[in-house]
Amino acid sequence: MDCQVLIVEDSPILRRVVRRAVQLAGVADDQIREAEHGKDALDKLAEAPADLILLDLNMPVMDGISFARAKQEMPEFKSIPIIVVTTEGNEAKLNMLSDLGVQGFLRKPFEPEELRALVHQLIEDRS
Amino acid sequence: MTKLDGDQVSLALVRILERLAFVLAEPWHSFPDDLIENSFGHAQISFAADDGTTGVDLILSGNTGFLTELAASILGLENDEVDDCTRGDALLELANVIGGEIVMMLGGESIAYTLSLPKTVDTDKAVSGPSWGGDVDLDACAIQSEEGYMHVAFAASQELEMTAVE
Repeated sequence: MDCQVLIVEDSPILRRVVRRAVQLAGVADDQIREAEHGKDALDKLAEAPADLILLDLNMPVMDGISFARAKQEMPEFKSIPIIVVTTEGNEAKLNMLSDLGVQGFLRKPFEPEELRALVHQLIEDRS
Repeated sequence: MTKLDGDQVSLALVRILERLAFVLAEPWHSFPDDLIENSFGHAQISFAADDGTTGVDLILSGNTGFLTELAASILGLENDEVDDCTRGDALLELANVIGGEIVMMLGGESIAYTLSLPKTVDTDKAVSGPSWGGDVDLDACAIQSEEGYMHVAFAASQELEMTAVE
């Protein structure tokens, strides 16, 4: 499956869990990149674009909402869909993200199968 | 409505462990006083309502057996494949998730809270306990799993009450 995925998550252990779920969704390991926070993710996108971004919200340096806002202001990245994986559950904050390219939410704690299914569905829709 | 108390926090922790890592645990009602000192590590997380009226500060302490079991279960590893760094990562992520879960138990779906980043604290800080400015309720709870334990101490501002407890 040809799909470049960028995982933006500050927790090393969660990055490993998310990577495994993305692999199970059919994405090859060499198509998955990782960033530790929003600023790191913007740098990674500048190096090479992505087809899908999995985004945590509560991160140091640059949080997920700031990253999503910055991405939306960059025409070359604006259309990249985002799945948010977060502890955040406030409806107002999550609704605000819908305008920032967010196409899916998964609340922590989640089961890896839930994430695999969400990623798989988004990739299927894209193709 | 009921105040944030140890029973509710320990039950939330049990639910999270099952969902996050398939780790089965149960509340430990008569836990000894020296759990914090005998723990592998400690993590702190806090959150406050965006209007500044309420807040909670939590310190989690887990022993080696529990954190090994947690990390191994999350990552699908054998216990002997888990190193100290991964145990610490698992503790911080658990602090993050329990913080988010308690926010939701306190009505976070409709009330905006801001959650801090989880951070590692030393044993002296963990023993001295969490703190929150002004009048606070201090409480603690613990859970036991097959391989070990997790202790949670928390300080909550007194106005804070739970609205949704499963």
